[in-house]
Amino acid sequence: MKKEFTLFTTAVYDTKGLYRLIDQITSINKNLYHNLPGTIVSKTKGLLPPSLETIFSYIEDQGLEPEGDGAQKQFLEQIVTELKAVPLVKITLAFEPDDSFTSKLNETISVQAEQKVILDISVNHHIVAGAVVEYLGKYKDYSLEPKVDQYLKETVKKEIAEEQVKSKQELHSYES
Amino acid sequence: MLTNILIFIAILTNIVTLALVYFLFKKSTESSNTIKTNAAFLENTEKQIESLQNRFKESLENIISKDSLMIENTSSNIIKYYQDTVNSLTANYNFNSQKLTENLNLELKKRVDQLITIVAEQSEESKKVFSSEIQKDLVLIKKDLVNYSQGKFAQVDAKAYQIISETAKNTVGKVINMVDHQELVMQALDEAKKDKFFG
Repeated sequence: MKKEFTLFTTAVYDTKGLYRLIDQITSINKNLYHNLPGTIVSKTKGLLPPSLETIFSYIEDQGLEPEGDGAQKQFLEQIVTELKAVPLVKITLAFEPDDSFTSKLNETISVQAEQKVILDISVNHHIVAGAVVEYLGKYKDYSLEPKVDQYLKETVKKEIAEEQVKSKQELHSYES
Repeated sequence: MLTNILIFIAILTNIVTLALVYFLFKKSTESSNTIKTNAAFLENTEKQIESLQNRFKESLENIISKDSLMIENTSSNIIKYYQDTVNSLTANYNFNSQKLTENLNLELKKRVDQLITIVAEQSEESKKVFSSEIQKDLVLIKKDLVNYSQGKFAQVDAKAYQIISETAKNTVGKVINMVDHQELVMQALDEAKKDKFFG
């Protein structure tokens, strides 16, 4: 991936952020119909969030930004295309993570995957703790749910069986 | 000449006519005498007929009276004979009916006794068969009951397990603090790394 696009993908960690960024870039695109000279930042003064303004300013300084409305529009569309092409990792957690943990998760997984990934995070309290992951068609349960189920099967069912025997004995003694 | 012939013919014709008339007149006087004779004869005949009728009537009445007596006697005899016959037939009929009834009663009693015996034997047999059938059914019903109750118990167990499982998971999840949750997630990713899940 080209450097200028990497700057944008690096700024995103999860699907929430991804869709927000795509919306922002799409709205910038709408403002480039006036045929005015200048950079994207100058044309969209006040409309860009600070994080995006920083990135676009850097791209301008590096001379990586094209000139003219048409070329700039194409550039923005290319950014969206690149963002959508980033692979997704579906991860299920037992709690709602904050932004810092989300970015930490993203970094860890991206390192393991050897490429930038975007996390599609969902919350399910039944998994108790840990995570359930899905990536490129593969699925694995690293949560505590199976262990809790195992424990419950062994312990609780045994107790239920003992209770059953007790109640049957009581029933027999009552009948006799 | 012709006129004379004509006159002669006319005179002849008149004579013939007169003769005819005289002849007819004669005849008529004879018939009136006959009629008078016949009338007297008729009157006589009528009287005879009347006399005959009276005599016939007398004879007939005589015969009728004799006959009526005879008919009366005969009817009485017939009636008496009929009554005697009916009485005799009735007596015979009653006697035979009684006899028949007695015989029927005896036969009926015999058959009923036989039937009672057969019914008693068969009901004993049926009782045995019925008892064994009931026993078999009872065994099957008990088996079904055991299976059903086991099935129901299993359902209850499954439901109880489900409730306990969900409650336990919810409780344990809430008991774990945020830091421990994050730590457990990182441990999960370490396991994934060992499994080379992402690579």
